[in-house]
Amino acid sequence: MPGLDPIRLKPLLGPLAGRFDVDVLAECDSTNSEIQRRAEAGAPAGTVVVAERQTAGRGRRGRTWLAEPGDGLTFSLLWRFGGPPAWLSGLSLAVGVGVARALEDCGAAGVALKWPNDVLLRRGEGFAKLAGILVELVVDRRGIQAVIGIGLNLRPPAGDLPQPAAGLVEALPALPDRHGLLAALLAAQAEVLDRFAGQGFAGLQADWQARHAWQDRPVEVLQEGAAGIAGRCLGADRDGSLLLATAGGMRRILAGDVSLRPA
Amino acid sequence: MDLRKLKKLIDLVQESGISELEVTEGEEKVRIAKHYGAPAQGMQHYVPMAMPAAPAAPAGSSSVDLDDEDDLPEGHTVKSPMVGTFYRSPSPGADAFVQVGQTVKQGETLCIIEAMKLLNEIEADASGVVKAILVENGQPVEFGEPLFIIG
Repeated sequence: MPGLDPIRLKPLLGPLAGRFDVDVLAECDSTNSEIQRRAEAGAPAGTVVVAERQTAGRGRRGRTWLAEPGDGLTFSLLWRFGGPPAWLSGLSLAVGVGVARALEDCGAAGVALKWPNDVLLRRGEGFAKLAGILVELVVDRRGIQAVIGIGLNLRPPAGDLPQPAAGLVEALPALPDRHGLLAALLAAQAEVLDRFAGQGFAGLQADWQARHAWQDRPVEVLQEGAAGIAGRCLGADRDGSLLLATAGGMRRILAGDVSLRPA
Repeated sequence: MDLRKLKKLIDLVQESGISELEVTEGEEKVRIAKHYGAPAQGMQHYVPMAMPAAPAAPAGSSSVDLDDEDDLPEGHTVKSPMVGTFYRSPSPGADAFVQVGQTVKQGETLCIIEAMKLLNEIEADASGVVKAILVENGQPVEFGEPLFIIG
C-alpha cells in the first residue's frame, strides 16, 4: 500500500489547506504523544501527525490502541481554544460528530455514535466499533491546547478484542483513497471545532443525537470502583454529559463505560 | 508538636477527603497518609451541576476551615478547573505524577482530571513542595475544588 503523502493532501483540502500542517511518520509510539511533544516545542494549531504504525498507542486510562500499516488511519491533531477547560465540556463528543460526518461525506452508511465518543458502524442488529477518539488537554500560558487523537479502522482488526470491531471497508462499495479520507476527516474537524469554539457542545448536540446508536435502549454505566448504574439511555445533554433515566430519577453521567443490558 | 495538635490532624485526615497531609513546624515534620482501601459503600460518582459533592467523603468541605493556618499547611492551593474524575497517575498502575513532599516546578503535571473522555492534564501553577493532596485517586471533583497545596 502506497504511503500517505502530505503533498497529495493539499489540493484535496482546498481552502482549508492553510489551516493544517500534516506530517506522516512510518512509525511512532503514539501520535498523541508526538503531538504533545511538538506542542511543547511551540507547534501551532492545525499541526497533524499521521502514523502508519503505532508502537504504544493509547486509549483511555492505559488501554492500548493497535495500529498496523494499511489497516487503519491513525492520526492526531493539535487545536487551541481560548476559554477555560470548563467550557470544553463535550469536546470529545464534538470530535465524534466530526468523524461521523466525514465518513458519511465519503459515502459511508450506518455510522453511529456511542457516548462519549466511540464511532460505531451498524452491523446487523448491533453495532461494532469503527473509530476511537482520545482528547487530551494541556493548559499552557497561551490557553488550552487540545490533542485530538483519532484511530479509524479501514479493515476490521484481527485477533481477540474486548468488543466487536468494524472496518470502513464494510460501509462502502470500496475503500476510498486514504488521502481523500484524511482530507475529509480534517475538514470536518475544522468545521465542528470552529462551531464548538463558538457555541460549545450545544451547537452540535442535535447532530450527535441524530446519530446516537443507543437512544432509549436499556444500558448500564460502569465506573471505576463503583457499582453499575442501570437506566434508559437518553443521549447527550447540552453540555455533553450522558442522560440516563433510572429508577431513582434522571441522572447526568460525566464518566464511565456504557454497555447495553440484555433485553 | 504536642499530642493534642497531632490528634487533631489525624482526625482531620480521617474525617475529610484528604488522603495525605504533611505539616512542618520548625524542625518537626509530620506526614499522615490515609490508606487507599475499598471505596466507600454507595459512593456515587455522579456529580450534579448545582449541588455539592456526595456526602460520603467531600474533599474541600471537611469540618475544618481551610483558612485555619494551624491545621493545614500554608501554601498555594491548586484548584480543579473543571468537573470530572481526579487521577493521580497517567494510567492505572503507573506511578503517580507527584507525591506529598515532592518538589515541583511551575508547569509540571500534577494530575489528570477526566470527564467524557476528555483528559485534562493539570499543571502546577506555582513552584514549591507538594504539602497536601486533598483528593483521593478516582474521586469526582467539582469545578474549583482544591486539589493540592504547594508551599
